[in-house]
Amino acid sequence: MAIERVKPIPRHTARINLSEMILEQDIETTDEAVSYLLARFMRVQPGSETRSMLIDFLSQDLGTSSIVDAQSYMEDSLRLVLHLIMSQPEYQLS
Amino acid sequence: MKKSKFRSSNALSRREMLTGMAGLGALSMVPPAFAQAAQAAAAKAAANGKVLVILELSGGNDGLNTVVPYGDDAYYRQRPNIGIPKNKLRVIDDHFGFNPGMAGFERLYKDGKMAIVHGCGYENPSYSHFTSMAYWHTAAPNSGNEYGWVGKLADAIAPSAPPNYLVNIAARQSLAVRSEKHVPVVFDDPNRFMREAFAAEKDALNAVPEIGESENSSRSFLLDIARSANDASALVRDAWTKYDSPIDYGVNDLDLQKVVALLDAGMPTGLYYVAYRNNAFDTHVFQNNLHRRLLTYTSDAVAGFIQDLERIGRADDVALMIFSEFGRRVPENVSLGTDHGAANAMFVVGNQVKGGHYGELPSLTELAEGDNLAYTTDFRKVYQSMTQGWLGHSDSNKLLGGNFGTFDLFS
Repeated sequence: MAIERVKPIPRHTARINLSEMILEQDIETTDEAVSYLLARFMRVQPGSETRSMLIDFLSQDLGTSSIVDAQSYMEDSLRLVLHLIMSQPEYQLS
Repeated sequence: MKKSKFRSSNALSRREMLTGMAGLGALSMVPPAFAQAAQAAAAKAAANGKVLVILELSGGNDGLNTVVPYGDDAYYRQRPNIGIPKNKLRVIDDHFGFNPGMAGFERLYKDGKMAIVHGCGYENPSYSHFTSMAYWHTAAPNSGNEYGWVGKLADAIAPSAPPNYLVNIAARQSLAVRSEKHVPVVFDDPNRFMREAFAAEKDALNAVPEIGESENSSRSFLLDIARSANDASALVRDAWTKYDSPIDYGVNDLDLQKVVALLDAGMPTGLYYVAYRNNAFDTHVFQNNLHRRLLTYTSDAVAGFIQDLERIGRADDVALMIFSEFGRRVPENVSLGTDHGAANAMFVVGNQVKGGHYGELPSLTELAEGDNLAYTTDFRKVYQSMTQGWLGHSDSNKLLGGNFGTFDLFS
């Protein structure tokens, strides 16, 4: 039967801890956090406009530009920023 | 690492591509707006302002039960059970009648807007859906080509590759539209033709920067493609939102409504490719009722399309070509269906079409291998009739790999 043949594909979120990665680097601002993520995940760096967009996005989503202040709740926001980074056309050049 | 001997001399090494070549200027794929408009105008002029729409009936439509040769007794001898009696047909002359489900086609034919080209096929036909369709897609039977014939046509007519010139409405890009220079706009549901994103990300994702001069030509190329995709998807969604037509396309519009929506919105597209998908016409078993339904849907959609074109004032600019990857065997099978065959009828529809029968009728008694219709018209002759006779492009040797001649299909 068709139902018996369907094998469920296990799905789970990425098992990474971006907050831990950021804090280990002693990063204090959203500017530094974006710089770190771009250096870590992109082979060809995007332009200044994209960088500014990511910094503004992270700051707005956190409600602050201080990573220190946001460290207890910043994981979701960092994941969104990472998703944006991986959605950039330049990410294909990685 | 040893270099591949197949590497093209034009290929960039990975290092070169990633970091950019020193001194290489920006490779701008999407010029400024005024140049885009100029390119679109040039493309339109090159194609005489005409638009070609191609409708693929996938699965191997049974041409003999579509345009039924009731005047030939051999038809009924070969199909004692699934042959359609004359009194059920939509008779169009003293030899042929359309399948009973095809009121739309009957009307179009009797209005002189439909050309029926008989016996279309090629030498040594393949009975595989995938193989034969690939031959039709590339216009390279028993061979192959990296690009589709519609893609190559776009390259030939509009070599500057203006955006949005080639549109393929489908779940995935057809080989037929694969192009060297053009990036076909491929979409299925216009409302979903956008990047998926969380709500918070939408604005950020849609902002593709204009970077102007860049030392990295690959980055420039990718950003231009991203911008082009964003622009095209916005145009398509906007066109579909604004489209409102009272025309009845029947049960399945075969994406022809989307074509009209884009035409009405002024999208600078010269070539459209749509399909009746999923091998729907592969009628091996209990053919008649299913086939009649499929033909009803097709016929209604095409008739609705022509009416809708009239409504928006573009009926004189558009020609529609309909084909299938093969016909079906002349004799019926024991399951009251038909099996994969060879030669088939093609249809060309439009206000500017000189309606009637074209091509030599294939014999129903002197059959080719496997009890199939022997082809009498190379399908590339119909292609050339469209590219040359309709769109005015004369270099068929390069486009189709030869000169196959033309039918005089257009007024």
